[in-house]
Amino acid sequence: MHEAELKVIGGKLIRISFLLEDNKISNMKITGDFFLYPEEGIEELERRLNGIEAKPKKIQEIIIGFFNEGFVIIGAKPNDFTKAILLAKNTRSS
Amino acid sequence: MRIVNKKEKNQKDNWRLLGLEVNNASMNMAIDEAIMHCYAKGEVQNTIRFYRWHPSAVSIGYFQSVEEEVNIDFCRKMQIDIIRRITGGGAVYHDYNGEITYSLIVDEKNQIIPADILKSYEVICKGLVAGLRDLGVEAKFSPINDIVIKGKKISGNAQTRRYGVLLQHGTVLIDSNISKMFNVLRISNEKISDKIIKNIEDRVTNLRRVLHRKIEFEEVFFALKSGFEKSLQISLKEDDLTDNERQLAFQLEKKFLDKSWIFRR
Repeated sequence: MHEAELKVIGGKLIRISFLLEDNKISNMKITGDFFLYPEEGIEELERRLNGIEAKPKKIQEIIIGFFNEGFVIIGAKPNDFTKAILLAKNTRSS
Repeated sequence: MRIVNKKEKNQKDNWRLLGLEVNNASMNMAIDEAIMHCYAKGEVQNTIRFYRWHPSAVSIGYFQSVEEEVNIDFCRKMQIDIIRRITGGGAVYHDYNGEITYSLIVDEKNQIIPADILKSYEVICKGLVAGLRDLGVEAKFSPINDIVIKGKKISGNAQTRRYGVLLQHGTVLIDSNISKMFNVLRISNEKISDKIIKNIEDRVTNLRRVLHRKIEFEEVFFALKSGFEKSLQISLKEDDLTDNERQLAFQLEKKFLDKSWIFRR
């Protein structure tokens, strides 16, 4: 399991955990004390990240595409999610 | 240009006030959601509700994980309920003996509510700030969603917008057992490091600490009610939940009690 937590300066906490097999993401879980509107969007974001290759460009593309659809995030910026996922990718699997 | 005469300008909107009730965690959250649904159907008016939690409970934000945020064994031992909110934000310890919660339900397009979510937190929190100042404390809004006294948090707030309705609920710490609070909540290292405060208990305060006296729930309730009235330019009229709201709350309570909801994330 790859895990990381990112405290956004002046903002909220993002926790990430996922499995990585053949550099492909599965079991993506994004938790934290941020605000996302509408809230149910978080499951959709996780779904879109599952199955993709854990490459920075691909992750960023998914995140940007998601937030461009009108989801509003408070307490973090879209790029903080990319950062947190990459931070988790670079942690040793537990 | 439309000319607003003096009478119209000074006319305050009547909102419904639901007085200080005590419920368990699941019913408290079910009532907030039930009001939203009934509001969306046009059955009820703008509402501010005040309530307490019995037994004491910890509520976690929509996006949080119980395991990550809550000391589950401690809660079991102390018979503290655990509940997931429909709003985001952080985990809150609702101490029956030391905390008051409010909720505010209004059309998200109401003229007093900014469309910008960040700004709307501030507008609504101003009511709490005004109430706390009436009690004699130097409270101020601290973005994103907190109210602080001399840098220490006394109130956390969370907002959702669904079906065109805005629900904001939040807590005001009166005499909460702060040590117990930090036994209930698991605080991440990352969160502590950002604040550069070694003793996390120093981040939080309550009214008893800042006023150096015991303060009754009723006194806080009346101060906050009057703070909202002044700040939002409204008049709060005490009323009850409708039969439909109560019935719906009983149905919705099942969701809040369901382990698949509580441990959803």
